[in-house]
Amino acid sequence: MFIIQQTLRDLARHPLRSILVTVLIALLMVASGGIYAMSEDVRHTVSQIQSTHAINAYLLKGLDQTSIDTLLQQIQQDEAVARAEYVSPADGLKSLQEQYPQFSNVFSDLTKNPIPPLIKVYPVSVQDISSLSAELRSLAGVQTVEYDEASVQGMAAAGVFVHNLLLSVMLLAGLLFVAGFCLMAFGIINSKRKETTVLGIAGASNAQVLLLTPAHLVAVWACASVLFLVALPGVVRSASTRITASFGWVTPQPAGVLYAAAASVVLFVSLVCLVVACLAATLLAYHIDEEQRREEMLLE
Amino acid sequence: MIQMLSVSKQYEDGYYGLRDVTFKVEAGQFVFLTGESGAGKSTVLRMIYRAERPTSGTVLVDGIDTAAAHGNSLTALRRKIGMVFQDYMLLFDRSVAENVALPLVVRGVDKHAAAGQVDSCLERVGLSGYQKRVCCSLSGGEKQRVALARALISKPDVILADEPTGNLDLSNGEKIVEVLRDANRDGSTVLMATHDLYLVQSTRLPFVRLRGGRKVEEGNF
Repeated sequence: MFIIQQTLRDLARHPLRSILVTVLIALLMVASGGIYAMSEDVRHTVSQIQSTHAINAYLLKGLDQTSIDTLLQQIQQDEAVARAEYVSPADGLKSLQEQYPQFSNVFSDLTKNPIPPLIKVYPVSVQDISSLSAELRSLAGVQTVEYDEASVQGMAAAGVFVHNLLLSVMLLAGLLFVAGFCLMAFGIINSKRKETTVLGIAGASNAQVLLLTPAHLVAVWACASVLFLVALPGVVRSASTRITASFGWVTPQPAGVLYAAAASVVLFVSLVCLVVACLAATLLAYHIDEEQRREEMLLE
Repeated sequence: MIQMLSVSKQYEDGYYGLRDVTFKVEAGQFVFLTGESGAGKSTVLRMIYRAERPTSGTVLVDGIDTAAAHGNSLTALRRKIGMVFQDYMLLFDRSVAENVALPLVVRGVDKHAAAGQVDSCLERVGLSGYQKRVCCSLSGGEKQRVALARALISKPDVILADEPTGNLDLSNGEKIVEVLRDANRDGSTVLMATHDLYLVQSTRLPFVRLRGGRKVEEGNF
């Protein structure tokens, strides 16, 4: 009760400072939460693009339908394969005509269909595309295997980039949290130095004296968290709706789930940073106190 | 009540703050601790309320070894002691009532009960009606009486006063000593550090004199 009263009194004693610090911490939380939510969208987009990557397994010309069906079945049973579909030479030519209508006279002049039979193989994970294509190449009846390696590598790099970006942002946010809380804690400890001495004289227990600074920090963090939780849905919504794209780039996760995930990650990280900052500031202040006490004694 | 048994304090640089100091203050006594600046008076008081530990020897308060006190036992020890300092040690941005009530607030005493005790304590030190005044606007003598009221409000067994009259004129100094003597008559043991020998002589109370960290004299004028 004493600690709560003292904390509320401290917050009320410097209202402008308390509000500014709370808003700053809330802004940092909202920025981190917003970046987390956006990274989920980018990650989804990358995975969507990756899911369109397929391996074209061109079959030997003249392979009979039974062999093709057996081969297709064999490929479909592979655990690394999400789905596989057979494209006959006729379907292949038709698709080509649809893709390039300006060359319709070239296609109509053909006396023989040059398109080989093809099985399009979609891997479960795009990371396995190289090993899967090697596996397909070794199958009897398969003439050659192709996939868009540059695009696969580009998307893999994009995925790694998003992952690293998120890690860096979270690390930076964590450092900012720790630095901010440390500065705040140290400021409080310094400004309360005389007060804590007086409290000790008045018979306050060690816990009452030691918990004053963490209680102040927790109170500011709690106020900032409330602001953050109120502002985050708006940030998530605006981040998801402002960009329009021809494909579904927004994560299919329900907004509530995304909001809860972003909020819990940011709250957890900021709370850990708060504890670290409290410990660091208390140890530093204790060290400085000891030095000062020693100097005072020597002066006396 | 208070016993210093062969207490020495040596600092890291080799300097001795106290050397083999032994004396005893019985319960209910009023004893002056005298000596020049640097004699070790404040060090003795700091050892009694365990702001410092002796390098050797034992400090006992009510039979409790202060050096061994920590956590709850240290809090309990300090709650037996009321402290008064030369530089008041008040929270100057708070009101007189808030400063005086502090020992009760940390003990979890109800706000209304505390207010009643603050009123009677302020009356005792001659500061009735000062409850709402902010401490920074008070004179030196008034500040010291607020500090004294804070020390008295929890009815401590022991009152340690470290040069409480050092910054005050004669009249204010006498008032402070008078309040301390009242508290002593009410049962508190008082140990007051002062370099004012005239004050010690005029009150004819027991004294312990220190010089260079050693006890050089003990008795009554």
